[in-house]
Amino acid sequence: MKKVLTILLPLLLTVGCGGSAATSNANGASESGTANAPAATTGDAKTVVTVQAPTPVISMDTAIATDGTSFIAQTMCISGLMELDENGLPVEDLAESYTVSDDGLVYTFKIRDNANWSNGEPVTANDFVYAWQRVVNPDTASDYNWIFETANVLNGGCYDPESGLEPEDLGVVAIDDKTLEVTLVAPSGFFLGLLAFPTFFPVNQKFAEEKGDQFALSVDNILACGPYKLISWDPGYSFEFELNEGYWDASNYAAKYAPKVVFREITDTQTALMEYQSGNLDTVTLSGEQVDANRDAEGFQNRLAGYLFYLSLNANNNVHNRAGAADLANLNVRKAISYAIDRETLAASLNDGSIAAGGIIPVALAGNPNTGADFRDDAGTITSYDVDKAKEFYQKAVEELGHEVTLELLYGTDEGDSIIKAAEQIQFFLEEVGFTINLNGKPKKERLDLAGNANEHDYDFMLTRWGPDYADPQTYMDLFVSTNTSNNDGGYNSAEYDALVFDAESGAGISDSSVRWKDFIDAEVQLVETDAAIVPVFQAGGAMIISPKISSPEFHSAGVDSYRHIVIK
Amino acid sequence: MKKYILKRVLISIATLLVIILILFILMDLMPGTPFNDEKLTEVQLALLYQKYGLDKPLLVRFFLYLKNMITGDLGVSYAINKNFPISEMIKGRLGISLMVGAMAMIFGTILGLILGIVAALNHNTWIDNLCSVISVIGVSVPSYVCALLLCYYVAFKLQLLPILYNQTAPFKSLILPALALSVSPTANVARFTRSEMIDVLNSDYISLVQSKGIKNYKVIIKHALRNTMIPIITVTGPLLVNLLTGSSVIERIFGIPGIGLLMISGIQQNDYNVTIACSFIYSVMYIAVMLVVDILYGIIDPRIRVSKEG
Amino acid sequence: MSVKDHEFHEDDFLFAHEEGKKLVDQTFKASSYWKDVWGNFKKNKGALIGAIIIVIIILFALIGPSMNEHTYKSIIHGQECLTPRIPLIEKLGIFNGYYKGKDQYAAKGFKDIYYWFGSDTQGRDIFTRVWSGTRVSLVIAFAAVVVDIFIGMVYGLVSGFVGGKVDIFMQRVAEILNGIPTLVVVTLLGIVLKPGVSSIIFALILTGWIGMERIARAQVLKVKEQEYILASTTLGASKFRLIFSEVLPNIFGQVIITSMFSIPNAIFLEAYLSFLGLGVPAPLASLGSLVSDGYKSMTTYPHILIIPVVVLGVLMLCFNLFADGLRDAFDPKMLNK
Repeated sequence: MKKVLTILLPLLLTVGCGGSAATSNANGASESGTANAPAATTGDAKTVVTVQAPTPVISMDTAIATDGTSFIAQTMCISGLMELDENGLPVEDLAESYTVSDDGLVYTFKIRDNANWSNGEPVTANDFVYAWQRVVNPDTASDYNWIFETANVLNGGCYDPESGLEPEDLGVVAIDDKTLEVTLVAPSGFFLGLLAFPTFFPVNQKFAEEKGDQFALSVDNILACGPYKLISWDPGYSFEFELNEGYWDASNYAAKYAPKVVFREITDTQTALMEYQSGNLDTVTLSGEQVDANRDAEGFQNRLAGYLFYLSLNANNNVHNRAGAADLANLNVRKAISYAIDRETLAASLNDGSIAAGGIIPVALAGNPNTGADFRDDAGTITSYDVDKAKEFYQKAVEELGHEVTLELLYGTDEGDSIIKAAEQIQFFLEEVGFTINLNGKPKKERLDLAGNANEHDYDFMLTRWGPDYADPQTYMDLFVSTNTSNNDGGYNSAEYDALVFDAESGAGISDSSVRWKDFIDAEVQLVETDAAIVPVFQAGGAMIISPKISSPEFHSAGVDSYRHIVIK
Repeated sequence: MKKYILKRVLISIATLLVIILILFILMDLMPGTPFNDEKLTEVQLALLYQKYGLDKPLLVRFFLYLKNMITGDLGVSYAINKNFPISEMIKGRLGISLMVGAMAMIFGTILGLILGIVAALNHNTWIDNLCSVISVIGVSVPSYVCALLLCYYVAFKLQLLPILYNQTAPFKSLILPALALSVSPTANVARFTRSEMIDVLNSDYISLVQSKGIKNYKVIIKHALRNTMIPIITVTGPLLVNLLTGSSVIERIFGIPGIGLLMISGIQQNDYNVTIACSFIYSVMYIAVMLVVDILYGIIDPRIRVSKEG
Repeated sequence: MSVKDHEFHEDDFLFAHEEGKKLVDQTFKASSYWKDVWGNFKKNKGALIGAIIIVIIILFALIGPSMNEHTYKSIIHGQECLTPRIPLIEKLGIFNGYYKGKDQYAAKGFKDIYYWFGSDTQGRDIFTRVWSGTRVSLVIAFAAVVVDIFIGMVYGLVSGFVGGKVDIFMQRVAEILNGIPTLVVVTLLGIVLKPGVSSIIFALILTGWIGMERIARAQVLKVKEQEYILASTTLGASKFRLIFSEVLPNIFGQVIITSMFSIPNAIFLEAYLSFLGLGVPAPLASLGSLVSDGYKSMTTYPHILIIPVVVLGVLMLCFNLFADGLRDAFDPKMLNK
């Protein structure tokens, strides 16, 4: 038996030590520019860019998709009226030009004469009308059917069967084959940006109706009108694109950009990194654990994602009479929570490029309509970490309530490792101040179900996130108005906040964009600082390595990341 | 015998029906929806439920599902590949999963037999102990750790095999995943082989054969091994089924589009039809293996059949 | 000369082979079954050492988490990812806090800080977490044995012994339970109950005993046909008595062994679920969750993975040795080979 142990232990130990020794070699190699990459690309010039897709494509139907990877795939092969440039600003794509009426309500788009589908048919104004009506049609059951209402498009509420409106009532008309007219109910600063969002992309009516149920389900059932076309789609494995010669700007693309882009679905970060270091991948996303060892690798970058994680406090929707939720109604408890969390340290310990949240509006979401300054710069950092203040507020709260505070933190277990770590950190920080925190991890579906209407808000406080749908503070501000019953889980109900948001979106803000901007800044202070109704925690980041052989894809904090403009160096 | 087999097959079909019903009930208990809850309003949810027929009562859905299943229609996916027919999704993936599973089983059986026989022939010596330790390490290190070690040394450092699954070279790129998966069957088969082999080697008929002067390896191959195989076949059946679903972690690591991963996503994303279909495939395989084992037993040992028919 | 006339003396004969040895009948003390088992078990050194190490691990699981000032969830920012460092032993060149040839502790300016097993990516003490994780895994292992014996064995006994329609029905129920993937069951339980130890144990209660049930039943079927049962039946013994006082003792050895082998399976079920994010809830640790956490750092900070893997491996090895020893002890045939 002694023998058995003496064999086993060294064996396991050597396995481990070998691991660490070899790691340093691998890193050395990657630092010197993937020296151990196989000679796959020598000889011929590199013509194929292979990028990692950490999640699969869920749908190639622009009316159905809701996730980032699907949107990225769709923007590869389908174009809208506009596209986003490298700075995230809308520029004309299929639209040759557009005019806006003086009151900012009527947009007239001229579609390019040489904009064609990959079956040779021209892209017409009717393709847009059909596509948009398809989105709001209840039969399609699109998750994004509300987006026309948000974009202020006339009769955007027609997706609701109870509104008495039909999809045909939507304010979009084909004047002729190449002219499209869109009518808004109020001017919208982000309408043009939204046109680059796949839900606003055209659909060839004849083709879609011919394919019926099978539309957009396989390579043969998708028509391209974008710079690339889908040449293979193998769910769970890969999807591949090749330049589309029929695209209006095809000659420019052929001269500048990668002829073929392959997306390989790889979930596991460790094997993905090995594959990258072997030279078989051109981009790879890193987990927090991998960042330290690869920080110096050529092409390493931290990108900011638009997602903002915040604590939703159930202060006013305590249907279940939870003791914790009842305590959250106390302002001092909420303030203690906000001051107790060291957001900088928390974000740093996630180590994946996340940054501390300065407020509910993420960095680089929207710019001041007059100066172009970022919202966060104009509004400043309105969250702060002060453990003494936190303790003070906590003591005050304990005196007022007459007991110590015990809360349950609801968080998602299947939303990435960072979220679990963040929950553990929040627990730690709050317990330092005096709280007792129990963690309640649930899969995302269940988490949303518990906190939402389905379970009548059965939670104390929850680590949740919101990804912006468009580049405007409104996408966040709308969440917490008292009339929003779908997202305002904590039941925040403040006349001041409601008035400010109303003024910005439907009052003075309509005609004066600087008033609108100021209203949003004030509303955020009311929400986060004065009432501490929610506690912003961190803005998600993503660490990546992008091969020096290619130019970086364009990342946008609101809107779809663009892999259209990858240049092979 | 025919009557017995027919009866067992009918019972198995009934069992499968009950399993589908239970799966339906379980899916019904799952909280949340298969849709993108984060951004949906009540109105939209109602629309989605209506579109996919999820607003109908459980039993109605159950019988509709059965009716469609006969025609090969397993419904569409709600979340993973939206509106994709599930039969299409599974068709491609099942083959890959079966291939990994079968390869792992073959590796596992061969390695396990070798380890087990060597251990049994050297019973109570250091070789025996070494074989035991190897097989215990096999069961005590999780397969994903083995997978990553193999990936790192064999594929990344030595570049002998591809790191990830590659559709253009499926066999070559599935060797590592199959090896990683075969670790636990190897240990199981080795353990079984060892104890069965020891039993057989000590039985009187082997002593007789040996005393007749027949060479040792002939004794092992012709007589001992054959008698050892019967119980081993019965362990490997259920192991194979476990492999097919237990492979989800391996599939994730090697980027294999297999059925195990599909089932996990189905569960996590509440994609009811996917979960039911994948679970159903698992159940069919499990029950089929059990059926074959039972029938084999009946053929080998008539006493069991009699007592079963009781 | 007739034989009668000849007188035999002791030295007329010589032993052909075993010179000098005489065969004298010895009387052995009658020993009970259990005494035999214990005697056999003691002779198996591997099993004995296995048992001792299991006891040591259990002790550490009990006192380990309180052996230093850290708790399983206490975080110290700035002390993340430190490699193991143990006083005294560090002088031997192992456990000295070196990482890639550099003294991590010195680099960060820590003098009197010792993480015996290192710290994890969040700045938590791995020593404390490993032993509290071992505690959780042992609870699961213990539950697996209890479930195996009290549900699996009894179910198999009854099903096998009663036979007929009852057997067919009970087998179908077991088949249905096993026909539903465990993962579906555990996920659902994790959602309905709280995810964690209780839902894993509940899942074991639902499906963990099927393997045992099949073995117990097969053993009963074998034993049932033997003459002594027939004799007992003809003498009018009740079914209940037959099952528990005649059949059970004869299959008990096999049952104990099977239940021992189900321990690693249960610990693994938990480890596997942890990898998929369905294991014990954070910040609680189990060996499985520690391994799957460490997995993520395997190529960067391998000590986070190696330590729980070694503990898990040693634990599994000992349970296996222990179970093997038990099997041999219960089966007298095995000993003499």
